[in-house]
Amino acid sequence: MLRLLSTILLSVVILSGDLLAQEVKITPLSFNNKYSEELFPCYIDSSLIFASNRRSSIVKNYSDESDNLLFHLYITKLHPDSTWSNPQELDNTLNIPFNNGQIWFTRGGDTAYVTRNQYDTYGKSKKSRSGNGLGIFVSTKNRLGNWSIPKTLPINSQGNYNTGQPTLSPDGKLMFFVSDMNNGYGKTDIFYSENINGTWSAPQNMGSIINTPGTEITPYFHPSGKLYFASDGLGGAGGLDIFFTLQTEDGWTDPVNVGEPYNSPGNDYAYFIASHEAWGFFTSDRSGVDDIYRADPRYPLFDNISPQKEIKFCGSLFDRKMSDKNMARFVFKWDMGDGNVLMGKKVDHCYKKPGKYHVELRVSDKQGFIKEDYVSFFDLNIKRKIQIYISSPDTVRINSAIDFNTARSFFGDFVPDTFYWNFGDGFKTKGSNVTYTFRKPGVYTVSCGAFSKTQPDETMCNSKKIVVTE
Amino acid sequence: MIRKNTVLTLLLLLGLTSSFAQPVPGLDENIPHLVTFGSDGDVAWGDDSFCQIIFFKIPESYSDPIYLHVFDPDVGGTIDEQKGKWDTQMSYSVFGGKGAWSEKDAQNMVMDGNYDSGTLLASKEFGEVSKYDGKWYTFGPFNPSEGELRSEFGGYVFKIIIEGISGDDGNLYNLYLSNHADRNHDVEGASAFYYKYKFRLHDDIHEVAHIYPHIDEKVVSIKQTNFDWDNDGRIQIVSLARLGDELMAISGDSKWVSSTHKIYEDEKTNSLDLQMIKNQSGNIKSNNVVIYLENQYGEKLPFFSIPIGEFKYQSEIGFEGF
Repeated sequence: MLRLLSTILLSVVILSGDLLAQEVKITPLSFNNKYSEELFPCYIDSSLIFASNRRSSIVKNYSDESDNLLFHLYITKLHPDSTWSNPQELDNTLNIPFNNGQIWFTRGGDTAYVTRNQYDTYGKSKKSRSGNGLGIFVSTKNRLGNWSIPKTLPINSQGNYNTGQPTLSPDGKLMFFVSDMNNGYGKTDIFYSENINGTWSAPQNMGSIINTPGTEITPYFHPSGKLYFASDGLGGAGGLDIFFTLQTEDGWTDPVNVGEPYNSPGNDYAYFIASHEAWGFFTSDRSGVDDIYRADPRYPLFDNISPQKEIKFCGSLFDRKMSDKNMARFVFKWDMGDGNVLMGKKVDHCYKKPGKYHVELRVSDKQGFIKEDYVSFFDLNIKRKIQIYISSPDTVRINSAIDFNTARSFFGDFVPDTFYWNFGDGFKTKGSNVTYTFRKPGVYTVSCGAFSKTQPDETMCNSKKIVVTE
Repeated sequence: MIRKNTVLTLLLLLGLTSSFAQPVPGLDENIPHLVTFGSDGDVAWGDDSFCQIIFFKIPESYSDPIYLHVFDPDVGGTIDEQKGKWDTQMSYSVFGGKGAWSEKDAQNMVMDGNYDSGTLLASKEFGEVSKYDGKWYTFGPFNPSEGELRSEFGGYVFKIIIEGISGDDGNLYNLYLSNHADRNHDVEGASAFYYKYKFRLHDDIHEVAHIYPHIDEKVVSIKQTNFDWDNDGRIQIVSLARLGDELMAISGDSKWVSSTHKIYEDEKTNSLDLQMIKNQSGNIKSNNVVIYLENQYGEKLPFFSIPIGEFKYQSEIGFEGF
């Protein structure tokens, strides 16, 4: 099937389509091998799993009858310095000696759906009159972290058609996949199946909005509801292009071409995009051989932008067990640990600086029915709020150069990479210290965001309003 | 099922509790005396059934003889409450064997039922006997294996029933489980428990009496019922979750009253400390009272002479930054 797909990839039809032009940095990954193909990136737990027909051993390698090396799954780990470890072949539970293709992990990473040849031994494959087609298999991880023997899914066919390249909705109820079964629109189409009470329903074609007389492959369902896929029947830059369609109440929207530089005159497919959509990986043969590339928008869009909080160390102290009770006959005395003593069932206090404070609560019964004061202690650790703190004037004049910096930020365990600034008027830049001049009066929301160096899925972004006057 | 869970929890907790003293009332209870009136007494004097039932649990591994000492077993003299002339006969009966504890009528003090279940091991009646006035009388020795073996308690259970046979005087007394015939010496790992408690409050308004009902993990609410409290002060609940802010209803003279109270998660598998505080401006003397607790299923909850688990308030201080 992979050989079939390689053939399909060469069948290019150029049609017109919408493009999303944007500034994106495209980088080939360091482990790509010019003598082999690297396909189907899947990123999980700081590791990238992909398929490759590289030589895995100087002694023993698997090839087909035409001496083409077969595809196996490899894993490489992303180091904190953004380099990749030397790819290692996955163990032979998820890899069979024959072809292994795109893998998909459910949330939590404890279930894997993998594309592979349906017969895993030479003997079984030879006995099969209809060849050794591709199918989707499922494997689960046990408490010890070991994968179970993959089981075939009922949507597979052992003689009539191939299935592969699964992707599941976040709730696990829908599976999208590729098949060349007969009732399709083109060479390969995208189908879906519903998990009903633990059983996958009969495959349904996604329809003519998505599937064309050409080739549709590598669906990827993003948590946002977008279904990315590659097609050579919807036009674009050339060959297979990457598109997305969005699931709405009215059905799937018309596919949108993600544009250059994701798409090139070559074949671009298998787009795996992070949940925050700030970066992703895809496969392309733009350099002449199928390789995996990383895509980083130069100025990524950040989700969950929080207005920055002023740096202060204030809070309320209270006894949770008493908060909803009538404690009128009791006197509450709080020694705040910084020399201040406050009275009340709930007290508000601002410390002058972060630090650890030993707080004492003394509760006395005014009426004397509890003879001894109740005394408890609480070690309060006042920390700075974890945020990117934008230091700048709040009000500025137009045409004045203003310095912005992140020096007063507090990151906790978050290790920020590059800081991305958005000044709310269309201007964007990078750096921890930047200077900008507003040209028009108004109120602008300036945001500054960063990705984590150590946990690339994590981001942080805060904003503040700047008033610009004449 | 609920009963099973209750006793299993008790078993676990009893194993963790260091119980070295078995006087009844317990040291932590600070209750002067138990009380039982003669059967011709007036319930308005503070005893609704003229009977008291106390259980003792002995660890299965304990093999030495045990004794049950009764302080001031007679009905007369300086401690007891005289009504007219001394004319009361009081029966003390010790039971072991099958059914001594497991018979529900015994736990629920069903006086027209099989509350005196089990095997009668010893019995004696007392009237006005100056020899025992303010003195100890000893039942036993008993072999621990004469009790009812209950695996859920990890040992043998004995029962003593103190019952007014005739007369109308009030018998005030104390009990002590001992491993010596002639003195009070603790039986390690043993404990006493009871489901309906009848006792005399202190006359001194500054004294605070306590009882410690155990709350198993299935209890979501309790209903306490008390009798003849004479509106003398208050009963406040102290526990891991309460600092005495919640009060229980108390009864008037010769009256019953009940109140229902929510149980907090912290309190489960621990004990409540029900603190009985007398009216600080009152002058009520010789106040005899009855109290019992039930869970939401109407099952009586045991009080323990030695509290099980935690019962002192523990704050949960929160901090919300702003």
